[in-house]
Amino acid sequence: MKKLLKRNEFYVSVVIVLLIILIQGKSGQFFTSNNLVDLARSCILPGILTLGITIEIIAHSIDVSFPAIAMITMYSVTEVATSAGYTGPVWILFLAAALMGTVLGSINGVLAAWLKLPTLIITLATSSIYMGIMQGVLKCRVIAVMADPLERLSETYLFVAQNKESGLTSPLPVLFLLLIAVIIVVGVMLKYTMLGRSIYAFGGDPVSAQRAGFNTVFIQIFVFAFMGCLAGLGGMTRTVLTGSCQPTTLDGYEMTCIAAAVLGGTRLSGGVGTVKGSLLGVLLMMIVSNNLILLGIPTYWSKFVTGVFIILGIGISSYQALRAQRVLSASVLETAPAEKDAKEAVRK
Amino acid sequence: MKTKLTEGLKTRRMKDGDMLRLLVIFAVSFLVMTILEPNIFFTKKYIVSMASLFPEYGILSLAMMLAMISGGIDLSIVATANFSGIIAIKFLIRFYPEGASALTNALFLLAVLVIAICVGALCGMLISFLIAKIGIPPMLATLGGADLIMGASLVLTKGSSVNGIPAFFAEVGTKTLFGFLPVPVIVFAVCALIVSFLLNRTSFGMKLKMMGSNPTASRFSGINNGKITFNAYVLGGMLSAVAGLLMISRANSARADYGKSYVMQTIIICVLGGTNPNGGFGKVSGVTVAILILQVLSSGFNMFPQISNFYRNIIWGAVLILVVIYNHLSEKYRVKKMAQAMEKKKSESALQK
Repeated sequence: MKKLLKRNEFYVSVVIVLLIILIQGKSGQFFTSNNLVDLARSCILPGILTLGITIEIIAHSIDVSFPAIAMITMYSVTEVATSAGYTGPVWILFLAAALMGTVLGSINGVLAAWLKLPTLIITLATSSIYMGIMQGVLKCRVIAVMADPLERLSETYLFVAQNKESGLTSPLPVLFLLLIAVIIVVGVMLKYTMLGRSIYAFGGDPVSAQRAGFNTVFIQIFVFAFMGCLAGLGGMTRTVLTGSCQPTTLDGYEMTCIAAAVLGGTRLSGGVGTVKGSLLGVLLMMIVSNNLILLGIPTYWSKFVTGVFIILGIGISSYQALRAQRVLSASVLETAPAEKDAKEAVRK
Repeated sequence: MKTKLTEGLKTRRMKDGDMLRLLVIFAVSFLVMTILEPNIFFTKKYIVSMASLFPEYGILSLAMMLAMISGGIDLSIVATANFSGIIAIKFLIRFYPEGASALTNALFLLAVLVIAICVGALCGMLISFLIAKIGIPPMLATLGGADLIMGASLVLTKGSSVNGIPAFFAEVGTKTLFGFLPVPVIVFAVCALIVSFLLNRTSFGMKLKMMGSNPTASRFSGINNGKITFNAYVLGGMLSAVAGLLMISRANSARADYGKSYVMQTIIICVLGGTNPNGGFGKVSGVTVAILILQVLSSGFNMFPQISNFYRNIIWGAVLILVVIYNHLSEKYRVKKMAQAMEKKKSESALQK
């Protein structure tokens, strides 16, 4: 029970349940089939990207360039496919985007592993470069009619839910399966493979990880490359979901994803984080942003409200870490009589 | 051992090498631009217009520098600037009487300045509270804080821009004294002098640098890290507020999302100007020259309409990465050289024995 109280997942779940009760009580619209499907649909993209950033934060890195990577890959792939009149299978386009994203992401990784500077500064710089290339060199524009396979995919649904009272329908896109696939891959990788465990080890303490024989350079490049790969997939997902390619559509998305990951208990100092927690974080963020209207809050409040949630979420997990640290240093500093208490505190 | 060496080297490098290198870069970029387009670039009008542009992000860079010296980073400066500007301007629009005299103008200007600075300080307090008391890493505290503050500006303005600012306000901000000295430059100079004084002549500056280079050591030597962090970010918020007023007076309107690209630029300026992004070192003079370099480059690119604005993003990003790589390599080289010299000395003394 005590263990449960310490977990972020628990608090996030409680907040989610409370919010749902509030929304349901106020509008009675939450548990309608189309609202639920809409929620699932809106979780696809942030879900994919948040899992990527979760891995990076576990490895004690931060990345603000993944929206730029997502946008540039999505635009280039869609543009090439559209202008070439591509008609082949659609998964090749996703593969191409994933590859391109991997390359762009590993540039970040190489710079980070080499320069050992705050990864924020490196990714800010590359993000600016990628955006500049997309808007300046490629002269991006909105692609309203995309290549056939993409258009077809955007009209393929798993099922269509209908609200019996209002008659509104919401389809669940087939790409929901992509999210599930990514969840499984990331979950298995983090939990059951040597690579996943080495990411935790590296994030927890890079020096010890190196001494233990892990190839730290590879780990750091890998996490950035993997984020790039997911960003590429995410970019394509975005085009398919919106049914058109709007190049700057993901501007400012990094904060949402980082916040979702941190809300779910991913520790910014590295080494701590779970797939489950991050997904709950995504769910919370999406419930907030989707249902503000149902609560009767004007849309220009949305940034403020999400800002409050971000600060609260990050604050709670940081404060826990700070307190744990204080207890630890107190146990080191204090003398024998206090040792027993401190030991107990650590055990808790 | 190695860290001690690098620390020593950094201070030495800051003293001579960096400043000279920066001045050379400035002179070269100025010369290149002059040679490329002497009829446009090297005219009084163009230079004065450049001088009235740089103070906005120059003052923001000073705020960023303070945060960087403390070992953090402040991504909320632009949001703070807009937020405090919007509140002060809303006050001005609400209470400014029709056809006021010069004296009331001056009073209102003072009031606007005071309000903006107070609001900026409040934003800084919020940020430093998140960092020092809650323990959020500066980068995320300021990124999240920026979202919150910008969200508040959006709520205040309902997402649109604030217009109808009394004319005298824009006049003051865009005035050119004696035909060559724009008011913003004076504002920047005052801010730079204050920051420089605080950094070099007060115990706060010393403590700030110590905390930035090693927070644990500074805590154990009796420095109140929380208080220093508080001061640094509150000061940063105040500076941002001044920059926000300059931005508003130039644009003659206020918006929640003005100057978004300034965050990136200020980081580049600080790193280019020799501020250590890991904390502990930074000089107003270095940052000032870096600001001038960036303004010369950006005004220079403006002369060529075929260079799209978006290329600037690439250039800023590339400059930042190149400077960082250069610093990294030169640091490595010097440490190696120093270590070699030490080895030599050791073996020599061993021989003498």
